Amino acid sequence: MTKPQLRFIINRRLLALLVLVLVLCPRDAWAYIDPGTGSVIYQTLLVILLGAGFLFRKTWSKLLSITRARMNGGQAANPIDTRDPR
Amino acid sequence: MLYRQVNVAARADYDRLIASGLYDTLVSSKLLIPHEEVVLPGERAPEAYRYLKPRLVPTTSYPYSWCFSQLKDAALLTLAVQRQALAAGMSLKDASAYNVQFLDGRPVLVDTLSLEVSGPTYWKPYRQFCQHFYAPLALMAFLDTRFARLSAVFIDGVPLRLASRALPLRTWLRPGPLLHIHLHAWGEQRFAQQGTRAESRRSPSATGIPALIHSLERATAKLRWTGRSAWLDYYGDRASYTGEAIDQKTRIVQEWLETARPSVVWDLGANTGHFSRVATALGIRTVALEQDPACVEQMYVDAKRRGDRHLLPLVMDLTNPSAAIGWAHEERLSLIERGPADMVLALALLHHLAIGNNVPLDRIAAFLAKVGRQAIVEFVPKDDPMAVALLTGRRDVFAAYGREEFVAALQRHFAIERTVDLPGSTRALYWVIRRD
Repeated sequence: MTKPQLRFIINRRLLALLVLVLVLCPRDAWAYIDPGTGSVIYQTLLVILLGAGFLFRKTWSKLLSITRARMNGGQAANPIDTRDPR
Repeated sequence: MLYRQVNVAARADYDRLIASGLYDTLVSSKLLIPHEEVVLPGERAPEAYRYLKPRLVPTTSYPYSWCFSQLKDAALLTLAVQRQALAAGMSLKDASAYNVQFLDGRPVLVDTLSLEVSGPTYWKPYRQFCQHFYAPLALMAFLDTRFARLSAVFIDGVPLRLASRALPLRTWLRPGPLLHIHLHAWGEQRFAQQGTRAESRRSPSATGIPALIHSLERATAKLRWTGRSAWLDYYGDRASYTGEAIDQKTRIVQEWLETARPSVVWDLGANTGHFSRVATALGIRTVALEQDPACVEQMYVDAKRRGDRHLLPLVMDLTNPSAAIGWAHEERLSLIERGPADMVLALALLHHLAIGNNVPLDRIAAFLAKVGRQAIVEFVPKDDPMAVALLTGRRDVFAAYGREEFVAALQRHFAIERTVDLPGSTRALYWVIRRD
């Protein structure tokens, strides 16, 4: 996994955790409730789910393609350089 | 003539829309209404940045008059605009179904100013999209197409909680309704009292909105409506017409339309649009008004397939036409306020209104004069098989329903231009011109 991808996942996890904390620690209720607020918070959670699904599908298809390439006896779709760089 | 004012407050948004090339992309792909910037005579208002003159939509229509596929196409259009906007660093701030109109047979976004430079990383109009588009579409797809009419009651879209309660249990097993209606309705209530300002909540990544739009597009595209209706076979195997009579009627209507050359025709009680197509084939913009959503669906899908740019089919019950609604009854126009048409067609309609709905002939003539400058009206006598069918099982209280009375009623509002008895039936056609 490349560095930017890793950073992306870590960011995602941290932010997901942050949102979860915000959701679970309600502040004082306001006198006027905007029903839109509930929807926005729901959207943030939904997007985590959709994002996770997207990432899962992407990783899964990548794994599949690598496995298939290996099974076919050829090289992986993105051959990994195993030589010692030093 | 319609002008829109871009306020100084929206300057950055408008400039980005133009400079990023998004406006050109959207207009060339027919997703957005084109406009020209104009200079108005007189002093410019201090808050005004630009004045726009958008292309006019000939006939305004509203989501509660659209069939399933019209609403679905409008929904997909909204999402397509959003997708393009994201690529240009912009986003829709509204996803109202009222921002979409039908122009040349296709839906188009008419609210140029609903595009803004994208700020927060959540999609602001997500809830509005679900209320205006996805919830009514799901209700129509899973329950009944007549749920389209709910949009006239709830002007800001069908409340998600209501949709969630009405939808069948099996919809909890489908990702689209589950995520965008059921859980959304739950989340709306669950988090409404969190008291946290929406703006402070950020979705976890910039990929969030595209993922959401993609999910909505898939969910919307998957919705299908498969309905049937008794009205679809009206011209199929009925006894009131011989093949020759319908051909003759078609020929006469075509000839009269060619002579009258109206620029807009309203076909009242259009059924599956046989006579609307006669008008559109002559290049006349035609609004086909029909109370049966299945017929409207068929007309729309067929017109789309044929590439008919002149036809706008709408669901309309003439005994209860769509009213002026919204703030001060001024936000959405009534049917009559959207007229009059140059020509109305009232073919095989009279007996439905007069016998089926007890509307006196004079009231029918007065209505025709309100909605059209001219009319082609078919007289259907009481001994016609269709009129006989309407009278079956009820007392004939229609002593005042006859050709003489019909002509007298017409003449109170119109001058009779031409008249023809239809061979092979007892019906007659009248071309009348309003006395102004």
